[in-house]
Amino acid sequence: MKNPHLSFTMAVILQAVENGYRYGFEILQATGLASGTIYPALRRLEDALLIKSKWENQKIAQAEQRPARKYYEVTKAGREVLVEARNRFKLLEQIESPTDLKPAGKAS
Amino acid sequence: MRNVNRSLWLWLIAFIGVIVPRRLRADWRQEWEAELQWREHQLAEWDKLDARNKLALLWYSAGAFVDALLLQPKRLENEMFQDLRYGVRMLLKNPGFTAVIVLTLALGIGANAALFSVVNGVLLNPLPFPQPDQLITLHQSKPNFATGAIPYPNFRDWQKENQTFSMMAISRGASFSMFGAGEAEQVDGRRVSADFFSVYGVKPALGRTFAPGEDEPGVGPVVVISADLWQRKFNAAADVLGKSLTLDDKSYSIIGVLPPSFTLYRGTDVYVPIGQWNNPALKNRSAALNLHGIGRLKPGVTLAQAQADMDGVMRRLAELYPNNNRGNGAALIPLKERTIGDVGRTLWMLFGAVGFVLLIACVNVSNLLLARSTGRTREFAIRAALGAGQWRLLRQLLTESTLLALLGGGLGLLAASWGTRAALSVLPTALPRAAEVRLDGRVLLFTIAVSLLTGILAGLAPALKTWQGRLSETLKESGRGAGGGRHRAQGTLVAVEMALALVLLIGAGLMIRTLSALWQVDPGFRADNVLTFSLSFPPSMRTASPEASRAAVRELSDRLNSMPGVRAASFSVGAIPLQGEDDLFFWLADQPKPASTSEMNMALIYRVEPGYLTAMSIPLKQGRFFTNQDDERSQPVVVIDEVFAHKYFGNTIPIGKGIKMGDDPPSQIIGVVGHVHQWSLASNDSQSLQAQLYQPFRQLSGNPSGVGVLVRAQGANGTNGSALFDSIRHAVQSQNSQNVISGQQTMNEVIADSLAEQHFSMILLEAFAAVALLLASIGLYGVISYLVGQRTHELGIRLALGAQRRDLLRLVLSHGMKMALGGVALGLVAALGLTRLLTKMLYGVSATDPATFAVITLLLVAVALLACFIPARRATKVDPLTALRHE
Repeated sequence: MKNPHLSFTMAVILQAVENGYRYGFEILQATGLASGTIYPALRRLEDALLIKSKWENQKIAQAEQRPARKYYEVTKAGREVLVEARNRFKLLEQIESPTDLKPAGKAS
Repeated sequence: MRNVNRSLWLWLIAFIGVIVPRRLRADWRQEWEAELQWREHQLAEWDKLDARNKLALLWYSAGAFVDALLLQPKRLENEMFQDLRYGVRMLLKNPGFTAVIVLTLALGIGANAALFSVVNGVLLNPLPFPQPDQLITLHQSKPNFATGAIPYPNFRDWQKENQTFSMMAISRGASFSMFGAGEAEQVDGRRVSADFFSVYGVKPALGRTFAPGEDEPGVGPVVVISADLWQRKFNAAADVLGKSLTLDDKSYSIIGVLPPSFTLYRGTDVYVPIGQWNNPALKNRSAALNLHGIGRLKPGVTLAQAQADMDGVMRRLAELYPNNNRGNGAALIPLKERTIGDVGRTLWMLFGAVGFVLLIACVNVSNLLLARSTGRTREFAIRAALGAGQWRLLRQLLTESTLLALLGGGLGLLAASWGTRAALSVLPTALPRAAEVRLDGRVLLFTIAVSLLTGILAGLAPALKTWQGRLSETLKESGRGAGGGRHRAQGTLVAVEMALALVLLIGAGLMIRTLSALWQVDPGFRADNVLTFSLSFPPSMRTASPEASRAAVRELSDRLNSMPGVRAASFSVGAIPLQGEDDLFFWLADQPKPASTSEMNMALIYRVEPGYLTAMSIPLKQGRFFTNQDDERSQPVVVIDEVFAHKYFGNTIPIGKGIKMGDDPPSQIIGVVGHVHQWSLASNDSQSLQAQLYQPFRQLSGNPSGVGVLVRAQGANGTNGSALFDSIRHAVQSQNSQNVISGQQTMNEVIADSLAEQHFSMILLEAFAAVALLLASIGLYGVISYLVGQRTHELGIRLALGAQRRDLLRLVLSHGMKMALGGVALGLVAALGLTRLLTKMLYGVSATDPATFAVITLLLVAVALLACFIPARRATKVDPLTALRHE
């Protein structure tokens, strides 16, 4: 697939996934974007083969007493697009990596 | 799960999930629930599940609605893909069925694409010049001619005095003997004024075109050549500029090469300034010389304004030169209109006819799909039972038929690109702008649109039937006897097909009658075994003494006349029937000379030798024709035709009367011959100029540069035609190797060319009608076969109960013929209405000719009977036992 030019929002989300935020709520907390923006963006990134998703190991989910989560990670094509996007959007570098598995959410 | 109570947001996710496409729904729900549950659990653990955070969670889950909405296109994409895949599978499962449908559609769509590419190239596309709508052809209207030639002095005045044209140019065709580039040959050329190429906006491919003033007499001779000649004679060499080319007796320097796209004057190879023409008549305000003009309107000027302006110019010229210009006017015709002529009507008619073919193909495919959808009733019922909506099933059927139509369209486009080229090469003279006909973007778009429309139209009947059918009930039945409504629908479709085919057949029949009537028109001469060609004499002849020139020409004539097999041969200058026109002014010798040319009489003029009458087989009615003694030393004589005799002498005998053609002594009429069709076979009588006048070739003054030649010889039409021609060429060139022959044709070919447009229409209409007949009878055959198959059980019972096989035959035949005759009735009514559109193209037959209608109807009924008979016979072969066990 030809590498699409990403919008800034899409690039932010892609960068967040690249930085290790693996699912919707984590990305929301890292980027401050609305859920109504993040999930459709994830679908589009996945359709464009820039990220791929996989279901969490069932056992881990069961241990935490919730349904298995959908995890996203950046593909090789996604990384190439990100390099190009970072050149256009310098702000992307300000997205931090998660320091802890427990997010330092504002609500906490 | 600790939090047993299903929270509000989880309900919300479940609720919103309903609108997510089913395929994605489970995953979608799980993703949202996993994250919401975990977050809720986390907040509860931290004891932070307060109202503010609950609201945040609710807001968070509201995003799911946006997410679900944005997933909607996937629903369509997904199902369309499924439909498509399923459709392809269904089509591959029945390759024979698919092939028949695709071929039928390819025929229909291909014929439409081909004809549209012609309509597009000839009628719709603008002419290939900048601002082509500003280009107007200029002519001088005279009492006898709406679009006559313009005398050169008048043109110069038009150029100076008009206010509405930015530029004006004039030109005339000319033929040259070309030397200096390989073997001597005859080339077509044009004498043009300096602005000629600027008016069209043509930029040369190499060098330049004519500069202002370069068309004045006495300026150094220069020539602009065609891309074709550049290629053919100079191998497209860049150093062609400055080389010299000898045309007739003058050496011209090549200053430019035209682009290959300039095809307005096809076959014309050299363009020379009109000032190089050493013709004293150029100064004569009454000499027409076949000069016609082209002008470019100033921006924003309308045709009406230009006409008013030119009317004013002509009024002033009539006051200044009443002798020559009284009664004359300026005729302005847009270039496109002039180029296309009246071929537009023919093309639109054919386009309508080919539309009928597509409709028939559509109906046929519709019928086949309908028959198959009957077979697929159970499949649809099962799919409906499993939850497929009616929309979905409808879409499935339309997807399949559109897929078929696109396949057919693709194949049709291939056929069209080949067919168009083939058709145009068979009849190149039938169409103007034929070189511009090709498959371009617009044709492609048209074909795609037609294919899609065809797909929807063809799929509509079966789709709607499925829609109406109560699918669930079909499941309960065994299927037999169901679908009476379907049979009615099929019957109606077959009747419509028959009706459409009948209309086309009658149209084709009328065109065939027209063409055969035209071939039977007596043109006043016998064309069989007559050869015609042009002959150019060597340039040295022009400067030779009159005696030497005369002797050479007479010797050549004697050689031709004494060749073995040649019955008669004649040189000809002036008009040649169906080929070229020439006329002159005259008045009767016993009347005073009229004050102006517009008050003189006009006649077509043929300057011929004694052999002409025999060569053309024109009957002598009174007196005598010319002999070799009617020459420069004897009294001037003329021969007139019956129309001339009747018009100017009524019932008195014209022999011995005199006519004046200028200031020379009067010429005495010595004979009357039969009238000849000069203009055309079909519309000869609509021309106002009919009187014909013959002058002896030997009484012409001046050295001729070339002549037309007519030869009657045994076997000229047959296989020895070309051998005869070779010996003529040999005889002509053995006298002088610089004698050049060109444009050889048999007179029959000349006639065929004059009928090319009618011929073109007839061939196409015939082809369309044949395809229509084939498709309609296949349609009828298919439906009857299908019905017989469906009714095997019933037919078996009838046989078991004692019905005779004869009865079954009659039963099936009557069923089929009911449809066919219904169609015939419908078709006759439609044909009565539609053939009126043909009226202007018909000759010798009326648009509602009862004989044609009757014969064609019988033909169609006979074909329909045959189409029904084959399956009907199969019905009589039914074995009652097998048929009953069949269930």
